[in-house]
Amino acid sequence: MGLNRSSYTNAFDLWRDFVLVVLGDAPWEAVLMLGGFVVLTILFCIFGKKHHRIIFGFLGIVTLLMFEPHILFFITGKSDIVNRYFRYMWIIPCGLTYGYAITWIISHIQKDKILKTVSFIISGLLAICIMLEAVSALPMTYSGLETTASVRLENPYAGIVVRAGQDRMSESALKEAIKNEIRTKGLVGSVKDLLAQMTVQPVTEIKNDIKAALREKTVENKLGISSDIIEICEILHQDEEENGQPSVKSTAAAGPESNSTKFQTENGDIYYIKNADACCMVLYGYNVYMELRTYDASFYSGLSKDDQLRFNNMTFGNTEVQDYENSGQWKLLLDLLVNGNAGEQLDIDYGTVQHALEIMGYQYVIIPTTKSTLPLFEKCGKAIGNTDHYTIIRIQ
Amino acid sequence: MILSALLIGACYIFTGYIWGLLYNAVFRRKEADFIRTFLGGMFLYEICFSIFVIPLKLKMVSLTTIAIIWGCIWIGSVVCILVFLRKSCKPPIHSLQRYFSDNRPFVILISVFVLVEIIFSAIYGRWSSSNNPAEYVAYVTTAVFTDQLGTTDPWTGMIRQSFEPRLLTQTFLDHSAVVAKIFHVHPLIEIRHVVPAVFYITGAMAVFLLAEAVFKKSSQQTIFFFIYQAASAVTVRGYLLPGYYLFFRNYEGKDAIPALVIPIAFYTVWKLYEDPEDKDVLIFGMVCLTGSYFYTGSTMYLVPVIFLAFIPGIIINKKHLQMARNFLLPLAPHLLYTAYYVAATNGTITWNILK
Repeated sequence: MGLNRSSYTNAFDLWRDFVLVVLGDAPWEAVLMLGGFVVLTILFCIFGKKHHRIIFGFLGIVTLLMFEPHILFFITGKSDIVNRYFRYMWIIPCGLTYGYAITWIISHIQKDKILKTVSFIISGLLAICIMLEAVSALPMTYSGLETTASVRLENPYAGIVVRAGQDRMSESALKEAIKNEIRTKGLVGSVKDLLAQMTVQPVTEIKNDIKAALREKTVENKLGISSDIIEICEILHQDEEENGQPSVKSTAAAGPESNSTKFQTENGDIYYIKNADACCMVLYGYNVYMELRTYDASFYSGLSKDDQLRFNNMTFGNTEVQDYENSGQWKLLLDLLVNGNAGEQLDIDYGTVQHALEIMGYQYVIIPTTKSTLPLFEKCGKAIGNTDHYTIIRIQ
Repeated sequence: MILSALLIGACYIFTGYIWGLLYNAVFRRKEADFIRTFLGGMFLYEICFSIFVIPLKLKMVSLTTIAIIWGCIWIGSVVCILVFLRKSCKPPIHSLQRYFSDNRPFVILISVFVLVEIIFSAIYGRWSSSNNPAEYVAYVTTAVFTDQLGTTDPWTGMIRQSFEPRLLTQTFLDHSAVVAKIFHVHPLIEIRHVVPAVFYITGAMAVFLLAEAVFKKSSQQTIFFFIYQAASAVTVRGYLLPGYYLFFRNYEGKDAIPALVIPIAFYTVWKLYEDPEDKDVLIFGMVCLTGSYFYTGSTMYLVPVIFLAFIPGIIINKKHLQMARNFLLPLAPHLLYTAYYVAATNGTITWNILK
């Protein structure tokens, strides 16, 4: 996630993508919550006591102003602070305002017997809503946000605002789209549609979320990481113990820091490793990357965060493979083979892959068993073990 | 493993309380309520740890040495506080006991709520598909493996050219590495179970503090407000709203912002608005909000807005300049940190690792 400020030349485009990221993930909740918050802030400002006007009115207005497109554009200046700008969402005192308003209403209406009963019913409904929300929050919270968010983006609950972001509409195109919507559906029809998006669809969504939550699994072990990772580490360490570390073509020398070693690979990459004797260089993809070094830091990789993200789940073909092979971009070639999904039968010799692995200094490869590039890597070495989802290969 | 986690968690709670006594003594607090004693102590401890560890990190002192020195400081501080401040040990506990006897159902409710959060997170809290565990959690694992703090890139395992300015000041990761070293536990136990549990406990305290400040005259209203705040924090699932970070990425320091920093900032402005002369609140706010840099640098974006948002209202409605001054005072550490961050990110300040 995140926006790059340098790629925006006008306030609207920056604001549009900002709104898309903010709303794209749970649009109807955000719209309802912010809408309710604005209404309450106005009510406090008009009818509230002086104390309320200061606490809720000013704070509400100032925090909302932080999201006005021109202010957003001005504050972010030329810096990339916009990457962190999303966090201002946290300071919108929605919880504080709602909590205060609801508590105030309930504590005041409890003075009357009938209203007391009504307040209990409201409290009960609120409790049920919170429980529903809690259950439906489970898949969102625990089973891979990006997947859920992307599914939601396909169903634009926030209507045209999210669509504007997805299609990267310009300000005039958005205005035109709104006019078209009103022209085809009529003003009443458009409002009805918007209300339907915000009420009927969310209910369907909650049902789906509850179904997903009921299928939710608990953590696989006490450390809270995938059991595959623990098995992979055991297999790698066992192989190192039994057969020693596979030799590599990179040259090693003492590094500048105590207990550090300087490595230079055949393609000229230089890197420094601590405790090099206890470490080995392993090629792995994004899913392993997220967890492997949280469990065992003795494995290092030539692929940085940006490398891991570059080709993750990207479909590629022979064109890309040949480009990297011909230009000798071995790191990118391996990155592509381990992170991408081959969209066609690859016309690549295993010798090329082996050459790339040797040049980059890799000693092991961890690759999903279902990956179509697995046979290529298997020919470059020896499979030393399998877990439920991965195959571990020792490079010969 | 569960026993180790419980022991470390108990040490965190004990440290917060003991350092809270020190906090009360240093700032000559007359009212020794439990929650502010505990939170003040926690953040004071974190400020002291940051001041201690950052120079040693920059000098690339080994983690083992840092752990031994800090272990000795910790034991020494606990013994000294217990010896010299033994008379002030009881009032915070008495205030807690008094509150418990007056509001037993409420205290039980909060305790059950926090317990459910901890168990829930332990059972369902799998990693997100974000790549941040590979940075934050692997930072601690890497520090324990290399025996150095922050010198190795957690993403790849290779030695960095220079220290990462953002992670240099987020010393809660260094603290987790020190704890893992002292207790000889896997870093995942500390950062995966203990740190989130501490967030849940302290977060509940911060929300309760805010609830009590808002509805001080009615315990019933306080209870309802607390339930609403706590429930919405847990259940709202927006990407950018508290619930997401509270469970989904609770290994990151950012979790402290919605859970701790924002409730404490609101508490401080609320109380200061009521009584601008309340130095106790002013100091509490300053200590807690400065200490929050132990967890995350994002405090610098948020807290100034909360405080500054009140200034126009104060000027228009009260014309009380002293009040405005007291709202500006807690901003000093944030301005300092912002200056550091700007200098560090644009390359004015760099700390090289490889020479």
